[in-house]
Amino acid sequence: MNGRRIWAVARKEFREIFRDRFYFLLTFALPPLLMFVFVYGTSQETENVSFLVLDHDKTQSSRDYVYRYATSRYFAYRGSLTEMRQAERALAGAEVSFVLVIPEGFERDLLSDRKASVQTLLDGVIPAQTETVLGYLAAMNSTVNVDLAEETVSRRMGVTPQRARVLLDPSRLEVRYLYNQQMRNISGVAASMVMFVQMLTVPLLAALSVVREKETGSIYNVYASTIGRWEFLAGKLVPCICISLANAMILWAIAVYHFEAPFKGSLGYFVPVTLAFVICANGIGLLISGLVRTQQGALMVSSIIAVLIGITYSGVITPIPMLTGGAYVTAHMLPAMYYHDAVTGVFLKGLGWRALWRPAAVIATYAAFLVLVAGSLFRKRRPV
Amino acid sequence: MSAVRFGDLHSARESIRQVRVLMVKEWHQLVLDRTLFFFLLYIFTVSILIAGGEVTSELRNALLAVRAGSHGQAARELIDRFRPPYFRSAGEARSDRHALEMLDRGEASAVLDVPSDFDEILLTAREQATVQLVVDTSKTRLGYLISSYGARIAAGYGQEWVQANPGSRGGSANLPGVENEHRIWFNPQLTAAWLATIGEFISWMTIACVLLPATALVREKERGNIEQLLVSPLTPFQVMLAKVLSMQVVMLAGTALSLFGILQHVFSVPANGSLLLFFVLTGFYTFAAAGIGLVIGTFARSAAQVGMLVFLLVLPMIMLSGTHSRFESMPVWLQTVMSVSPMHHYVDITLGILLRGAGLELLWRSVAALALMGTVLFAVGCWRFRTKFR
Repeated sequence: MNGRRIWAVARKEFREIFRDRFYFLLTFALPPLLMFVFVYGTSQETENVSFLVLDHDKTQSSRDYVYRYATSRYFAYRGSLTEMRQAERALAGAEVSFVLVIPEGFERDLLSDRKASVQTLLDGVIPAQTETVLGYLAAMNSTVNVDLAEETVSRRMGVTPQRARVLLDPSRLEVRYLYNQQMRNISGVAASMVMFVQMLTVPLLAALSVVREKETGSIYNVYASTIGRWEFLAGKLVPCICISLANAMILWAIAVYHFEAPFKGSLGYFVPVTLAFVICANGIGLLISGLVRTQQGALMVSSIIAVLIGITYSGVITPIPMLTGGAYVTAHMLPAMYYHDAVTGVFLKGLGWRALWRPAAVIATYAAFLVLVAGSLFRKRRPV
Repeated sequence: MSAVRFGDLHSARESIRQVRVLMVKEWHQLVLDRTLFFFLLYIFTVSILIAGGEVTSELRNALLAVRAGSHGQAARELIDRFRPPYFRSAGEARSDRHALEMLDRGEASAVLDVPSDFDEILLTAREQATVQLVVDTSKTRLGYLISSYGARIAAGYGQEWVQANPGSRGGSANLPGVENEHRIWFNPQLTAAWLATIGEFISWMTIACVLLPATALVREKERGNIEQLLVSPLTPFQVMLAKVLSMQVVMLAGTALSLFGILQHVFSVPANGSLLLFFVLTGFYTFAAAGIGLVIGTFARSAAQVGMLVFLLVLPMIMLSGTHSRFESMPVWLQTVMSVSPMHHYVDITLGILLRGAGLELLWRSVAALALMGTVLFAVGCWRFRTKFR
């Protein structure tokens, strides 16, 4: 390894990147832009779930019941219907998330201390959302029921409404949110996106920087020169790592200062682990560059890899414990999950080396392993 | 543009023949380019299998530690309800500090703390018996699911206890109340794989439709093949049309492979609407997406720039078009921005036709938007191409 030769390749690489102004701009504009769009787009709580009402009862009680849904911040009332056909049409046309159907006799049943029944027709096309809406509906219905019963019980037994409530609803679950007390979705998402955005952009840069030389043929200059393959790869990696690390710090600053995600840990943990992850991601890029010959190929393969590692097996969208058998094992064999743990740990939990040395060690090992493998796959003289 | 003078029938026929020959050339290239071939095979089959294989919208295997203590029978019954498949035991937390350590290290995602006098409070009913659930919300979605399932379990337990012990509640048998019965339409079992596989299919098809024409154009530029094209008897328009049409045919074939081979065969995704309409509109959509690719390809000077621009435009479209996040709960400004994304309308159309069984009479708005965008994007792509390669 000769420092001067490495530096020569790195300088050439830097110059190439700086000269292509548009590309240079994109490498720094892409990660923050993706960060903004993803955080604003995916961090919203499910609110304003739109619904229509088909009220066959048309009484004071049924109107009161609908009124409770209409005034909740979770639901958004979109009007009344007069017949079932309209409900079918509205659901098939995806105009609303659910239709509340109140049959005749609703008030009569309630006034004679019986169970009145209503029906909710839900759109099940987006299952995760439907699950959430089912939770809201169950909560709403049980509040209504306790309110209704509370009045009756306090009248019958001659006790205060508070007492009646204890009798009717004997146990209570108090949920305490740890690390993210207000359950601010945006904090958690912003921290996750620091990982996600890097995983999408970094391997692409590294892969293209090598494959471009292969495709244009300028790699033959390298083959013919005295430079060793490790020196060449090191020179290639230095600029990529610098740019990626700078980008990671920009993402960190956006998460902390713009989205106000609490950064409770220390940069003394975050920066070294991020450096290891950046090397890891660059290693993936180098590996890809060994597999393909054209830039088009590099683009295709790195988008597949980025999606698999960054989305499917990272825990950003589907939490790791919810993955099944094979997927669960695969996730543990890839680096993104560990970095995701490290980032959320250092951001929201305020942990450092003592509690999070394990993910850091895994990422560092992974980085060394990937660079070694990618390096040994790179041959200076390739059989044509 | 001399070859597309439609007044001259002979030369028009000739130019169609030339385009056809060029298309065959593109297909040959596709089969010979192994990376491209495997990429297409992957996105239309394997990626969808992976995406559909691991998803669930239900809580599963959340690690739950129980705060140690002396528990009566009722307390144990309640603890037992936090059971698989939703929760998995992470053991006992000996002290508050131990509980916190377990949460810190990720050995538990939640700690359930049932007080030792839970049974007694429940029986005497002197107040509400309170159970505490401490949830790690650093991973927001998991935290949200745990607290929501926990609340449902605890509420269910309380209600059943009241029903099982009516005596202590003074004739609470005949109380007024509302029973809300759910009917879930279009996906009654809430099979998460349906949306996940459809979303994966649309996402990858979009990436391919944008990426391939863009990289093809830039490759011609980088290699200097453009000079050859200019001196050949073919017009640039024919070259471009051949590229787009041949890709469109490949995409439709891929769509058929995904739909019949994977979506329907493996995941039993229904096709409640007209498949003919679906394929026609998919053809529309590939035109719109290819238009984006052409515009990118004429602006970019290198494949690296293409990659960046594709990621910049397509990734937000994928994340925000309604398969990953709910469109209604996005900020209004973002909804406005995304309504010019052709993918958003194509998602509406696909979910509408396949799952909701909707026809043109319900989807005409999305169809009109898609048609408009396809025409505009493709026209802009052609115009950029012509001015660039005249």
